[in-house]
Amino acid sequence: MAKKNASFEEQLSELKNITKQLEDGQLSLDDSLKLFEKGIGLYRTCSSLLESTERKVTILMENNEVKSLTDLEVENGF
Amino acid sequence: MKLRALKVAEVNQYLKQMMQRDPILNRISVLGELSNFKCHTSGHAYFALKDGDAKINCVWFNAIYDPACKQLIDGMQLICQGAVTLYEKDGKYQLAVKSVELLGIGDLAEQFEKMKRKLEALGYFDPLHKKRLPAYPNKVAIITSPTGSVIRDLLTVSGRRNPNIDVILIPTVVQGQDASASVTNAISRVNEQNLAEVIIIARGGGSIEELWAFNSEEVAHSIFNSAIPVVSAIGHETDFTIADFVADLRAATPSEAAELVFPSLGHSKEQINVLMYKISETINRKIKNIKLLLSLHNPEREYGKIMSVLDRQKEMTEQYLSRSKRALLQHIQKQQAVLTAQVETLEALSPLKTLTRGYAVISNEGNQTIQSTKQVQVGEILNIRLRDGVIRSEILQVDSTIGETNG
Repeated sequence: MAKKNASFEEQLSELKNITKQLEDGQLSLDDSLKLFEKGIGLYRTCSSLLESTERKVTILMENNEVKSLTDLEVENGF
Repeated sequence: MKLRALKVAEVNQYLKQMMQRDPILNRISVLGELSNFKCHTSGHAYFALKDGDAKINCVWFNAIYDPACKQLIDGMQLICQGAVTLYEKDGKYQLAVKSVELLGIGDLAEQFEKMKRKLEALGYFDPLHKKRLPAYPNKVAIITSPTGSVIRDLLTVSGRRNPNIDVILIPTVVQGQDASASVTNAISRVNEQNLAEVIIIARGGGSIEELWAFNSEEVAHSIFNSAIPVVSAIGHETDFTIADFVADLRAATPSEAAELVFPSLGHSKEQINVLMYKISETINRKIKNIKLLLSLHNPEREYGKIMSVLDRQKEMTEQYLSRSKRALLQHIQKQQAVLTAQVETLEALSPLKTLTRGYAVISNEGNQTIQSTKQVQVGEILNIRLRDGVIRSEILQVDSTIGETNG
């Protein structure tokens, strides 16, 4: 779950930034390739962030006890 | 006397006129419970007033311009003032409403307005205080009743849009005397324990009394002071509560709240794919341009140039060579011609040439040319050389006298 700590929002904005820089076309080939590599890395991280599709649904009880719900229970209205 | 039969239209027209002339029907106030209230885009409202099993259909023209119109909810007790008229087309009568007086919630509506004005003055509704929702939250807290269609809708829509975001449900009382404290408590708990990055407060539709907890100052205060952004989805689309005004974002329905808070996974995927495509395209274009540039300065190109110069020189050399050869050949041929001419001259002088004219050369066995009879004796063998060969002969007789006479 370490991946979850990296904010998708931040990574996405970084990816947007790299796209913009590359599209401006003012960079040397060397710098462009470095940015490209970084972009691919970000893309992979973003994708993997989106791939993990196991959401947790929990109920916080009155005494701060936490009860987990499965998606099946959610569908059936617990 | 028999009355003639009237046409349907004539009957309806007659009744309409009767109603119009009647002083009571013309200016009547009717008390009843509001039901099937609908305000059309035309601005006219259509509803019914009920009283037990009895019902009167009502039409309220230009209702939209009356502030009371917005507060009408089915089940309210109203007094409608207007005129009873006949709708000639289907022969039904209706109450053409001119004004409406709210009974049941008159007091609550007043309290609501008072609270709204007070909080507005305190700046609770100021857009400056509205917090931005996180575009991609990891955890969302939902403050609502743990049972019923609201939580089910929220979980279904959020799960469909983005099964990647965790949901924490804070079960809350959303109706009755305890509701206000329960909601306030839930908001504080999420903030104190930092349980989520965004809060949804939701409740299904209901009467103004049922939604009353969300008009309390307590709830307004805790929403306003929440460090975590709050999205409200309380009642139906047409219901507005104080909580809706204070919330950072108001959703018309629980489903809409889920749509506003949970970013669509498909959309996010598409977004990053588009970015990746753009990046790849850009870098490919760059590499292509550089390749083109490189090919313009390619040493192989220079090599080719040199080679073509060399080729040309080689060609020229070969040309010279073949010209020289030709000249030499011509020279040789000329020499040969001279030689042939000399040979011909020589041949003309050769004694062999004389032979062709019919002369012969005679020689003895010792190959001495015989020029005098004195050189030979009878019986000697002589070779007579002619144009086309040699005759070998034997001397039968030698006569020297013929030669003396001549000589």
